[in-house]
Amino acid sequence: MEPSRPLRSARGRALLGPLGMAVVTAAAAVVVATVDPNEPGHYPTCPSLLVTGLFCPGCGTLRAAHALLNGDLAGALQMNVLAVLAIPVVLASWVAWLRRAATGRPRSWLAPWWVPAGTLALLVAFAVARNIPALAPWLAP
Amino acid sequence: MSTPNGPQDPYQPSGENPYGQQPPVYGQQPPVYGQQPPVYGQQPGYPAAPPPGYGYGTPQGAPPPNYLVWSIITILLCTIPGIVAIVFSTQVNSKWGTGDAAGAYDASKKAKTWALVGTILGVVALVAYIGLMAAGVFASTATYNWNS
Repeated sequence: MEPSRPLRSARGRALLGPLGMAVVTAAAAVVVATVDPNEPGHYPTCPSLLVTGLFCPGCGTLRAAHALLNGDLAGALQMNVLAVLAIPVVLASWVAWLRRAATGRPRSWLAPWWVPAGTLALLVAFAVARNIPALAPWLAP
Repeated sequence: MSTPNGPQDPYQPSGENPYGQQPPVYGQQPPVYGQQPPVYGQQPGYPAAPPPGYGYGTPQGAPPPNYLVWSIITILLCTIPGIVAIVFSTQVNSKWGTGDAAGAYDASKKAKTWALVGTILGVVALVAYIGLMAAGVFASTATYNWNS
């Protein structure tokens, strides 16, 4: 449709956001897929886990990503259910971002208020639940 | 939407005009929207902010971003500012839903600020932590054992 002069047009600059994010994410995925977080010493222990000993809602995301990138969906779900379930949502959000950048059309829709509020409630509930020993076999990393 | 990338006229009458029953709050404005000067037209490439302060209905024009995904990532980096950012994310959606466009844009700005603050603090803390660990400060601390 349009001649490609990416860095000169405002639209090309807008595309730098989503495309740059994709490149950075792909590079991180290569590292996480090859360098195993289950081996001690490969990555530093999360400071909040080290200090508090509690699992935050993000705990196990690195190991879940490693499992998923190596084709182990069950292992990924065991490490962090919420992180795995969030992947389609994050991907859809990225596609919408890319589309807005590519077309220059502004956002046209906003979810009802309970979507972000429910997300916060879900994160807090998950943080509490995965630290309850009885639920740990399913929810703890 | 004849000009997808161009400035939009928020007052452009669509099929049914939700402002038709507007109470005469803005008494000094002419009630005919077609006669208003295209103020927003002089900001090319910027989504036109709808007129603020309507008490009902979803405003016309482009809703502001709520930065929800960024806020959640911020929670994992640096908890407290991330939670504040999510609260403002929620306000973006709720205020937009009740027609408070100006409030929604304000909450969007605050969500972005808090997410940015949380991201910067989180990255600084992470770099400091890795630096201290490389310097051997945590050498005597037992690392967390995943497999226990």
